Amino acid sequence: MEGTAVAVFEILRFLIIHWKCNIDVSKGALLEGQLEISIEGLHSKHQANALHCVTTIASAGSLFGGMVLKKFLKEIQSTLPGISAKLTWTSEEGSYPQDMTGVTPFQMTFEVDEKPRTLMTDCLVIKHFLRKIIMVHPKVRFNFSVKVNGIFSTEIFGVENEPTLNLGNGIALVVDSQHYVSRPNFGTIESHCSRIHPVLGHPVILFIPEDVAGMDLLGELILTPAAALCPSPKVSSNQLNRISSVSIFLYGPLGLPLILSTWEQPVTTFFKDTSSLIDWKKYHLCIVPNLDLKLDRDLVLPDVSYRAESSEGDQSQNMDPQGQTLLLFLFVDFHSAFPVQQMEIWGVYTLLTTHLNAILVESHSVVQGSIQFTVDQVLEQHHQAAKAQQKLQASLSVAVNSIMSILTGSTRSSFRKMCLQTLQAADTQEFETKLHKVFREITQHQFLHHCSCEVKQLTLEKKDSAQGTEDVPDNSSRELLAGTNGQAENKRLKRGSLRMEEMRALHSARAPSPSEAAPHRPEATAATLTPSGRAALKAHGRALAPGRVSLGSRLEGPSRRHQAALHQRPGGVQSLTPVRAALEGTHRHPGTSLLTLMGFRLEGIFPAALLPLLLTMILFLGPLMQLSMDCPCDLADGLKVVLAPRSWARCLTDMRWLRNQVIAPLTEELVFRACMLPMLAPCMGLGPAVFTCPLFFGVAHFHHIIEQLRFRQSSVGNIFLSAAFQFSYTAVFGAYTAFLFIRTGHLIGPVLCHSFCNYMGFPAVCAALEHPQRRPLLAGYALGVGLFLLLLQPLTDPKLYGSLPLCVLLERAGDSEAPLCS
Amino acid sequence: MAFAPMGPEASFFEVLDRHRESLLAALRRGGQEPRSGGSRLASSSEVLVSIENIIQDIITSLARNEAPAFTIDNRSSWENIKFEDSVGLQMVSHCTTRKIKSDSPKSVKKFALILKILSMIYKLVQSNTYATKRDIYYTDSQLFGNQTVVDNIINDISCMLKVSRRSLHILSTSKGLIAGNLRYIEEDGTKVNCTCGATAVAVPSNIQGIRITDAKFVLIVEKDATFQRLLDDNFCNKLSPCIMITGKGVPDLNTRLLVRKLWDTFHVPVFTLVDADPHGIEIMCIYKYGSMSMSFEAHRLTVPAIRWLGLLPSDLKRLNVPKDSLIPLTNRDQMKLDSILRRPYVTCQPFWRKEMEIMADSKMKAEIQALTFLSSDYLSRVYLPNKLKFGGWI
Repeated sequence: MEGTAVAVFEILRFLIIHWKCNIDVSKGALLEGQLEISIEGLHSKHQANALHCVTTIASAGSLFGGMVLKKFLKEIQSTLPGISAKLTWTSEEGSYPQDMTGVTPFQMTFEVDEKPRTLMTDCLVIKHFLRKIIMVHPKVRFNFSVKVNGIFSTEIFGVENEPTLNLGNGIALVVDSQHYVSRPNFGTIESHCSRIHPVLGHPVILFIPEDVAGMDLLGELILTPAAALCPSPKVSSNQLNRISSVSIFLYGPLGLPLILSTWEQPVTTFFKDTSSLIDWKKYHLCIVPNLDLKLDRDLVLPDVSYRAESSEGDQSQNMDPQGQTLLLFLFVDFHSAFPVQQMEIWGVYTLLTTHLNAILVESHSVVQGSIQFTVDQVLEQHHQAAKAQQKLQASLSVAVNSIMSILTGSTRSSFRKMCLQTLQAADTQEFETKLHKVFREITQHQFLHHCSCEVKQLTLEKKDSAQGTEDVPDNSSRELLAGTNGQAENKRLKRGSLRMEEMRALHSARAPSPSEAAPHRPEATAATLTPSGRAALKAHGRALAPGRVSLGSRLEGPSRRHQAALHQRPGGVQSLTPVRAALEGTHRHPGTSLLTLMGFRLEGIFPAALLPLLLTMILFLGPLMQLSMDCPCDLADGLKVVLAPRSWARCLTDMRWLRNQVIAPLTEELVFRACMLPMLAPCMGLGPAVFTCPLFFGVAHFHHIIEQLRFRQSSVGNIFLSAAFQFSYTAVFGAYTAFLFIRTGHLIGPVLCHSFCNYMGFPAVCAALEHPQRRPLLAGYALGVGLFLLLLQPLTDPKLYGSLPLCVLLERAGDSEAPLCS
Repeated sequence: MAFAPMGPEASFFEVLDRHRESLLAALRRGGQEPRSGGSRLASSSEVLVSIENIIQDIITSLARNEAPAFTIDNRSSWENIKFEDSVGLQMVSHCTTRKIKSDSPKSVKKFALILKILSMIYKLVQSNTYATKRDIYYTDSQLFGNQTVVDNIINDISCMLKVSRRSLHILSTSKGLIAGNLRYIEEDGTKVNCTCGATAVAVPSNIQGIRITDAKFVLIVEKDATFQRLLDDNFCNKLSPCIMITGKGVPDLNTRLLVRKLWDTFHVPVFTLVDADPHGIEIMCIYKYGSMSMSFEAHRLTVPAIRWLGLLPSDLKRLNVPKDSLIPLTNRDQMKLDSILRRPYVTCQPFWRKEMEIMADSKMKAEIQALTFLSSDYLSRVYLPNKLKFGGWI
């Protein structure tokens, strides 16, 4: 830090003190105005390899009321000892300072010779100083321009439109986290609030050690800590993040940065000892000083920086990108409101810069206590937020599960369809995923709103902070939420474009030597458009790419940003059973609806109705013959009866006939064949399915036992015997109809067969044996069985009945053995 | 009836019968024939459809990118209550509502729990099974936290869907007891006979069963202790035919439903025997006019024909109950009394008002047991029979 920087610091500090003293500070008003700082370097005539720098500090508008200029000049001259600087004073009415009635632009200049390299670092240092000032004086704007050998670069420092947190005492803190940590590429991380939420700690009185107390210090000094985590707690993460680094910012009275002696090393021994501020062990953190401070970053440079070393070791080199930075602001101020003279503030600065270490060491315990308390508060707040979030997530999944349970349990298809349509989901699985996503998005959105302080809250907050001005020192710690100042984004974008034109208009000549004035390449235009537009002096090669990246990111508003992150959540949970999933799957398959699967289809319906019936009749050839032999009437009469409508009408009105011939076959086949087989077949394979499903069918006939037992129709043994017999033949019959169903893919065949068999009953073999015409009958029996066995396969060839819907299921189940599908 | 023990001679019930006539006459005057069984239960499919509609609304609002919310009638403010002499406390049609939002950290849990219970109700109704409130709580006690949360949500749902709790297929274990000349058939076909004995029968949770009674009056007893005492004294048999019911303090839904059902079916006069303290009056008012939190179901629960039989504050003076058996009103009693006096139904009960004013003036209250100073069975032998015989109710 050489002459230029020191001089600029001193002058600015002096200016701001004066400025502050002249406005009505007691009301806690913020400084408002614009300052121009320009450095113009030309090759020095006196010194080789050096630049003659002319630094001008001017107010763009009216800044000061009634400043006594001569006195100012004298005072400021005296504060810049050892600098070979000429200080000149110009003003529009320069020669009549006494006439100034409060509204005066002013300008002052000094000259110094410097080496080009020194000038570069000085520029960086000055920028950081300005950045630090605007963090607490958000309404002040600095125009900083450098012109070296005719090459011009300019930068504006101002955060007028950004959300701030009023701390009272005429200072406010900018709460946009982009100033404190570099923003990671969003999209890869979960959305989080873009602001920091500082917690203001207890003010503590600083003890001034004996040897320093000799200085003329009026009143006591107090230190107020403020702490915040940056980035703020992620709204969607469940666990706490680790603190990966600690940044400490020191501010003196009136919110002026305390500049410590050097940048290169931790400035004072007090800060060198990392445990002097906070007992980190309490948080299971191992903190070491971070010496790797990058001057050329856009961020506000912390005065002291620590990083956490993970106990595991190897992560220590790189800061965990997911980790959080603990921001600690230490504000040193006078105890009482404002009894001090300008020169005394000045004195305090000298004192603080030189003796801060001693003072802090002296008041070590109180400072540590207050800071620790504040940090605790911040972490607690963080913890609460995470907990609330967890609760929200848990509740949401309960809600979603409940909705899903109602939806999947509903028997009203119109309701299900309607729900699926509303969320544009194809099936329940997708619906669940979507439902979860939408729910989360909406509630998160609300959470983010809470966190980013809407305009509605703004008025409240403003009132709050206005009242808070007086009682901030008494308030132990309260979380002051930020007040926004409107659409910062828009305006900053506008500013960006304006600056681009500015740059274009400017003559941008080739730089004489790249090392001297880096940003004077055409590419620098891109660099100056970066978020804060402060990259002017970046090494041009590196500046380009990040500049573009951040430009892109800036075009996204904050809400869009959140949304983008939110869209990348993984989907919900699967809850469907495999069978159900299989059914759902086939549902989507063209041409295989649930009904076709169940054997209700038109394709090949005639053969399906006739052939299985024919087959069954062949099997019953013997009994049929028996029937016709026993029938008292001849064939013609029989046909007449069959065709007469009156006999049909009699049948239809007979409940027993209806039950045995129509309802029982239909319902039994529907349940035991149409509903069961499409589920059993993909799970067990065709063969086992054919033989399992009739077991259910057989068991379903067991209830006759109860009926018979209750009414004691015969002995218990007989009842069970007949039940077992019934079970076995119904099982065999069930296997037969199951076979028919699978081979034909139609329900009609099994239903007709069932009806027919119900009509015929079990073949009366005993009667046949004692029949007078025994021989032909038994031959008929044998012929029927033989023909049946012969014709069983050809008559039920699947090709006769069109494509089998069941095959689709089998394919899905990976069942390749099914020859019936080939 | 064979099982009925010999009650008092017929002339005993003269006043009671006249009272019953007058009640019936009032009912007839009040309009059409009393809505016996007018509390039509919503059918299962209606319940299912209304639950589905709620889900549909939620999904629609989600699709519109709005945070879904339940709108629930505010059941804890007197402003939402209107009083009608023939029904009792009723919910006004345009009552204030509160929103259970899904996007505020405070109410999101309640939102989720309502949905959860809705889904459980949906399953219950669909499968035509019943569950008790406690049962529902135990399905996920971790999530619900405590029983009160579940009870509240069930009431909210009942109010939101405008469907009785029974139709939601949610039961509660009955607290109340019943004894007397009443026979009924439970849902599963069990025949229950509540004849007076040493033990009383629990109030059935389904009050839909068919009942047979020849009771001349129904006596609601506030406290279980008094109820048991009366049973021991064989009061039921002495004044047979009659029915005694206790809700053991503040009555639960089943007890109130039963009282209502008895009134709707048989139109027998109903009397209450409560302590002469503000709490007793409050309980009596709940039977008669309903409570604020269940006002949305008042038309199924209240029995405005209920009369106050005892213990009247004026009786204390009349019977010369000594001062030391009386208890001074506490501050809370005083407050409760004041709040009852401010309620809308007091205006149409000038006698009640008078009694309460007597209590407020004397600043004394008394338990029913205060009567034992006269004789240990004074209540069952003298006090109640006399009151009933000579119409000492108000």
